[in-house]
Amino acid sequence: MHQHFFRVTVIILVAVISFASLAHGDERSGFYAGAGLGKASSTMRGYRIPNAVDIYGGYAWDGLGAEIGFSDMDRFKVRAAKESYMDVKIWHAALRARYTFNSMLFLEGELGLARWDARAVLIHQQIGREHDLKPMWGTEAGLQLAKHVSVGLRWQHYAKVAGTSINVELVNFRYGF
Amino acid sequence: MRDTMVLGFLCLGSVVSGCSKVSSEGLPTAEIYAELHVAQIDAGAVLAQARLRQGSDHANTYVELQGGDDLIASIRQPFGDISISGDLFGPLREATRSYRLMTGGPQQSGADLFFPDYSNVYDVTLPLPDAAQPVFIGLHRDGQVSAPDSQAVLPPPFELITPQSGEIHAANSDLAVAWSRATLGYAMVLTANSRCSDGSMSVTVQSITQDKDTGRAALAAGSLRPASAATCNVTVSVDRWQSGTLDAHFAGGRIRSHQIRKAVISVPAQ
Repeated sequence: MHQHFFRVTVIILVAVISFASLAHGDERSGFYAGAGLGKASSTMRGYRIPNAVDIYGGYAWDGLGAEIGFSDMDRFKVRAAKESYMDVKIWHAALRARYTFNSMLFLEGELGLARWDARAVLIHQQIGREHDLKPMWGTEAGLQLAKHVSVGLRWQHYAKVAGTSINVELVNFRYGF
Repeated sequence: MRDTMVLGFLCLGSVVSGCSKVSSEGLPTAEIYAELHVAQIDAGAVLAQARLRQGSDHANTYVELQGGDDLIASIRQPFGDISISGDLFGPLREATRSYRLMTGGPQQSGADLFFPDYSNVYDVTLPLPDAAQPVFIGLHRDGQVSAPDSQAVLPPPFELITPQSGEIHAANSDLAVAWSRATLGYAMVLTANSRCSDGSMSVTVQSITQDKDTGRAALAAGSLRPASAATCNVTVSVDRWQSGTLDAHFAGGRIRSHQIRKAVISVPAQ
């Protein structure tokens, strides 16, 4: 599943970046901010799927953009012992490229770095804490509803977070200033 | 065990003067009396059970864990000593197999052997540890001194040779009980717990001291079941046990480890 997503993401990224130079999407150039709500999952078996929220902001120009964001996940609870869990928070900085179809539909790819902070809690007691800087990438497909507003389905992949990889799937809302 | 059973029945039978509960919050560990058991029942996993009282063995006030206080059973080093680093997801998942939170709740298999009324009992099941590896039960506290290091090693396993589950035994003859791997110097307790189709019950307990574990004993005719007209199912339990080391922070108490083998036989009315 992990490799499949990786291949799909790379293909989408290459396509989007190739088209981006030609794209003159209807996204408003300038600063933007957004938020997403969805689910996170780990490639490590034995953990429950937590909710996730993502907030971000950046600058867009001519189909390209640069942004920073913060993802906070509910606890990755161990299936066999719900009082034990991983608590993960991730900051990311990424470059993104967008291709817009028919002035409304868009496809987007992003590539960047993520700084994660993970705590391991065993029966209410923290037994480990780690942080690191690793690559991240993602895609989004959505609708540009107006010059200022878009909604989309966003998928982000964070590689090698405390011994696993984390995928985040979000319903995403963005506003351009 | 006999004392425990008597007190348990007293608490169960008396609603008016029965046992009360006190929150663990603010209660010093030095005022808590702990009764802890770990047992392998037949070929199953290890059952860990605990009951805490305020004061002493004979106090009728049970301690209810609240405010960040936990009882944790483990088959590795005491809970407070564990730390992991690097790839956290995998080691945490592995650690949850060895460290288990003891909870109050539905009765586990074999629970009535240690706490007949099952009042305010905390328990959990654990994987079977390696031979000679201790099982730990720790009281971990928030804002009070913890008692993390009560431990006991399971006695050597054995097999129940007679009776076998499903046997029909005549009520007017002694019941021969035999087990393997005897004469190892462990204390044994035989229990016959009878439940009859008319609702009547009885319990017979027979202890065998360490120097008399010959691998066989007999439960006397007439002690197996109450004098009712109904057919009774009698659970015969053979318990090999030994004491462990209780954490010194408790006011007192005990930790015992058990190997228990059971057979359920049918004893019709005479």
